[in-house]
Amino acid sequence: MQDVDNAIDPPSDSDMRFSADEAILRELREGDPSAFETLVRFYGPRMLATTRRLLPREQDAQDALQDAFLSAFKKIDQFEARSRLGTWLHRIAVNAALMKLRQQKSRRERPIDDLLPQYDDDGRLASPANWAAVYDRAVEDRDLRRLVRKSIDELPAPYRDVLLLRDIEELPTDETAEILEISNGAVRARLHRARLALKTLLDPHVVEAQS
Amino acid sequence: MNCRDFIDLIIDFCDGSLPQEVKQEFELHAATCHTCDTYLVSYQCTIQLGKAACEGEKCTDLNMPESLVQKIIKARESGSQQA
Repeated sequence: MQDVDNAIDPPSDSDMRFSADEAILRELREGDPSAFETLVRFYGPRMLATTRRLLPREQDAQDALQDAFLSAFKKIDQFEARSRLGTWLHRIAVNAALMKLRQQKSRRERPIDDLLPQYDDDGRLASPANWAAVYDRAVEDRDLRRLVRKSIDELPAPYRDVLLLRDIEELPTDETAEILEISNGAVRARLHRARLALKTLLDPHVVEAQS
Repeated sequence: MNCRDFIDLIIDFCDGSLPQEVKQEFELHAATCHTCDTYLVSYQCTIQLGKAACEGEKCTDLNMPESLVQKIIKARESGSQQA
């Protein structure tokens, strides 16, 4: 009975996308040059949004997108139909952006231990800056947003990468672990430390904004 | 629970993975320690600020410059010719 119901259902958006993806893949594998353009035009904008989130400079984001498409084109035969084409391309765009981030030489990286909370001998925390009063204003403040982005870039690469994938790209822990080739436990530990460190980097600016 | 334990558990509290018993202890500490309560708020704000900073105004626009489309297509063509 279920089969009959399925047979008369109109195709969903997802079904139609799947069929379109299958057609693009077939044409790409057959060497049809217009298929690559279709791929770039359909998936490019979302992939560019991803590389822009991960890379603060527009030129880097565009270069990473180009690298991602060239890489995808080379590896198209490795694509397995059990995953979605969009998910596969997103993963490639994330990797291209991470690669670009790692190539940046002039980055000022701060040691993570200097950025973690400090405690007294009894495990008590020193008084932190109070953010509650400035938070709403901070989100709207373009200068502060730039400063937050710059501070993320000051995190040591292993912590920055996890923070970007988990908090900014909102990838699940296991996918982040797979991309970075680390364990799920390491993802959580690094994410927590990255957030603590980012907070420390932003504290002086929050205090400044309040005064 | 002291402040160090509290800070170590913030990530689990934020994603709702603390066991009920530990969660109660965590919330009790927050209620009695103003420093940690303030820290928790700023930790949550940090996550949101990070998102806001990386979204930026440009990322709400899903358009892709035509010049970039053409550049990528050309790069693929010249790559294929070299191969």
